[in-house]
Amino acid sequence: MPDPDFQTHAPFLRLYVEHEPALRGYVRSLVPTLQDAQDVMQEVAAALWKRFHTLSAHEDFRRWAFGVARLESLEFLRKCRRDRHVFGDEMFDLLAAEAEDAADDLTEERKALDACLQKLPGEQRTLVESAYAPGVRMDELAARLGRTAMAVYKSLHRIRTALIECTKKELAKEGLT
Amino acid sequence: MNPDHEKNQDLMARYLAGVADADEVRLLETRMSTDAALRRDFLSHANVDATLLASVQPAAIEATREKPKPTRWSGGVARLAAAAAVVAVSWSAFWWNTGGVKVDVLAISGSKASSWSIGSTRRLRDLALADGAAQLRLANGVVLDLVAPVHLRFVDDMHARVLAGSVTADVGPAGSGFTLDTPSARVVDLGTRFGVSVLDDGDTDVAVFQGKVEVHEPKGTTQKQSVLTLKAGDSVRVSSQALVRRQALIATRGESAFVLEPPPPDALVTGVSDNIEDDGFRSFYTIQRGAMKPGVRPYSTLGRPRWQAMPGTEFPAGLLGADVIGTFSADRHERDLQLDVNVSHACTVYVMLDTRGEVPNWVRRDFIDTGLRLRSGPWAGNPVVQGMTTDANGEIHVEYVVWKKAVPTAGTITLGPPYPVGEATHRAMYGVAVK
Repeated sequence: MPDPDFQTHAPFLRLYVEHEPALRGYVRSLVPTLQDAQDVMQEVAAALWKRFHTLSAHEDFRRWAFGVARLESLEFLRKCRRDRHVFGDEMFDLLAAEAEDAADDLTEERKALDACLQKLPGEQRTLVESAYAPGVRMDELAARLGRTAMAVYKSLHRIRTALIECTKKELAKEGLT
Repeated sequence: MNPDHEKNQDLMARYLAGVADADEVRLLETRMSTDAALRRDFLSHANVDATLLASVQPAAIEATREKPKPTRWSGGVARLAAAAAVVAVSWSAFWWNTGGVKVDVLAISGSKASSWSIGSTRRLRDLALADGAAQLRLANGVVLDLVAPVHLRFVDDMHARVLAGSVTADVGPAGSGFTLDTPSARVVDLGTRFGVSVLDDGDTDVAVFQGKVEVHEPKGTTQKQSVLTLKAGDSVRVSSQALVRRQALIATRGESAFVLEPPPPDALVTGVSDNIEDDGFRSFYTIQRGAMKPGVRPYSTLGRPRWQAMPGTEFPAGLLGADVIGTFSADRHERDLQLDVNVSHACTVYVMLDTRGEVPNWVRRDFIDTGLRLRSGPWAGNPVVQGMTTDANGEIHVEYVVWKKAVPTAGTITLGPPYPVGEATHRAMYGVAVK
């Protein structure tokens, strides 16, 4: 693997940092769990780094990176398909295509998310902070809260739903929807 | 609303949590295959899910830390992860004001200065500075200096993780045992001032300015834990493969106390090394970039003496703003010393020689006497100044002649020993500046 100094790779880092949130969301839509997405993103980062020299125009970085992320996600699903319940190839392709098409809109939703997070009631913020903290186990968190794991999952889903609704309103205010 | 909306949401919640069974996955898949709105809703949920995780924990770093795999720490990926986490402050664009560690803001510069006021108290868990610097005091009195780009995550008052960049800790009695984790090491204070830099390839530099620290293998290492004790003036680099070697040069800033800082991309002095290879020898040289002026330290390990103009004269203008290489005083005893200074472009190297000593042949041969003089001081209780008398202010200063050498291009300049054997005890080690 090439190992030149940081400065030499400033263009790569700049592009990666710019597009990493979109890539992360994209990968998350293609694999079953957050941990899966984290694992795949490690591989995506490595693959992008390794193949960066093959990118002819920096303007094409996002499209190229989405392609790499799609392949890495597919590879991951093929490996885990035996013992995991995952979507089939057709749904994978459909989601991959639509996620790429919707990338700009999803970027706007992420931008609007900051404001919406600030509006979350304290109890919900605490739950999100706890559930997304490093190394947290949902069964342990649920036990700590005196709830079932499924109840916590559903609460988190409701919070995400509320956040999505909020982002839509924020974007509507800005005339972006 | 779709009459099956509740069911769809339930299926989606279970799928995204990774707990849906085979029938539920097939059912959700079937419904999504014919419902574009449901697919779009699914994408939004995935997007929010990933964003929440990245906001609460910058995942590239965390995943690497929590699931150490040697190949992932090698070369570019670690560099990528670390650098990305530093640059992408927006990943932590919000952090929660609930929880975290209480800190007093003692000093702040850069873009954070517009929203943080000096003297304010904040609760922090994650702090990423893309520019500027910060000085924070924890409730137990531990003072942390952070120089951007840096990313620090607090575990509690006694424990933090340096994910990228340089952090210097000044630990008082109440903070004894304060611990900084990095990707390749765990550094435990033994009552001291020390600095930790996480490099962009995941390696860690540890430098001790006062007292002692213990350097352990990183948290989560399954191998038997080994411990290395470092004393003041020592520095090591710990690789992600747990290899430890002396780190001969550290970059510092600060006048009253050293603070580690990351090297700038356009550094003139890119390395300093010597030929001293004693077992357990880990002394470091310092580089204070652009810092030459009255009051700057000439030596890496001596706190008191500072460069000064000669009485009644101005500080030599040609030296102002030069990079100051802090040599260590014990170097003066090395009769075979070879001190290599690597520079990235054309420059002038200045060597300041104690006027009490003979001018070494290598200086006479390669350097030009500028006619300029400097002094360092005040000195006290050091054999270097034994036998010297105090001046009118009751202080002792050592005087130096400034020699210079023009370096036409990038390369390595080798400096030699300061004194013949036996003559070094009561002479000062030479000083070095590059401009």
